[in-house]
Amino acid sequence: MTESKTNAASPEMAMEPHRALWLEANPWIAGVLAFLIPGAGHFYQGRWFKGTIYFFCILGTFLGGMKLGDGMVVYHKADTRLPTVWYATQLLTGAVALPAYFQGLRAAQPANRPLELSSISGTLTLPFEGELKAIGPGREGVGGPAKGTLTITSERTAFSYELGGRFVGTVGDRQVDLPLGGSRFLLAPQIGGGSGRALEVSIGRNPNDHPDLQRLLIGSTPRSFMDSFEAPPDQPSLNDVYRRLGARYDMAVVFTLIAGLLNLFAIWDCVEGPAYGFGDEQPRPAPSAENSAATIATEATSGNSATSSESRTAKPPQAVLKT
Amino acid sequence: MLLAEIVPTWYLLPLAMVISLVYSASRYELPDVILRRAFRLCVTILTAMLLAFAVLWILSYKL
Repeated sequence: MTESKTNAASPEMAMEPHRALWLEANPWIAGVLAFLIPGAGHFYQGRWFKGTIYFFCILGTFLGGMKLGDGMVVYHKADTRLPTVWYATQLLTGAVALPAYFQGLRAAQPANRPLELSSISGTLTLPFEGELKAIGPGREGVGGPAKGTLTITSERTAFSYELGGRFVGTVGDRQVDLPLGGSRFLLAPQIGGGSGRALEVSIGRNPNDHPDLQRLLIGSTPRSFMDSFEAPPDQPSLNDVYRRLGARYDMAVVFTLIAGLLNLFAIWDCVEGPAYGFGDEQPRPAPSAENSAATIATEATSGNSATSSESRTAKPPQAVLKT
Repeated sequence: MLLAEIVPTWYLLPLAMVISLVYSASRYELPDVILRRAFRLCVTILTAMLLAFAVLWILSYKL
């Protein structure tokens, strides 16, 4: 097998044939390494140039796709028994896609659900970035982009829970300190896709406001890397990312899928070697009809059937004899 | 602003380059052969996409 992969076509090359490095290393170790980290199997075999191509091209495509899709492209939803075709294809990229499986299991735990007002004990302090939205009469000039810190408490009333606490920060370019109130409270699960955890709270009523004016803080609070990396996003987050990115999200998914498929090539090359050889082999001249006839006649007279397979496949013996 | 920010189709350019490089690397072993074949494949892919774009553009003319 080694001989068939060495190049002895030209005299110079015959003096110094290429080494088939993939045959000199353990194919199992190389294959597993190639799967886990694109290019690692080639590095193990000492094929540095190809390893570098695979490493940067495949991982670059995968991570570029993740960045393009705001980190909500690679995920596994543990409520489906088997990984989806999408995730299975992304998983071919190796270790970089593997955390999604475990994040899917973490996210499916019963404790990972949206936080309810009744579940807040003590004071919850969260950084907030989003928008102050005003609904109803007298809303002009009230809302705007908001950024600051939320201090949230839950106060039990006779029949339910009411929001307490404050928002201190900026709305537009105004410094504000707003009391929270009402019962509107929404905080997305701790583990989920996207770097921000959706957050929505209502602002307390101001006596000077119109009685029908409602003010809401709608935005997000940062989610830790461990809780967001390749975690499955909920449907509102997916809707939001579709709305913001449009076709770019689809492109991001395509990037990660193609990265997985390209790693199949890399694994195959790592175990079996390049499909077409080294690339500088000289094609042998095709035997002419006369030469073939002469060769076959010689074989027939000598009774030697162990000729090269190439001369046999070049032209069937019957066809040569007819001419 | 990046060109790809305006039209996401421009992301196909690096994608075609990556596919050409990895595919050629899986076919051949020698670096210069890989690079030469990758360049040819990339040009072929982009030409094919350009042709498809031209056909679709002509078919959708005045639609």
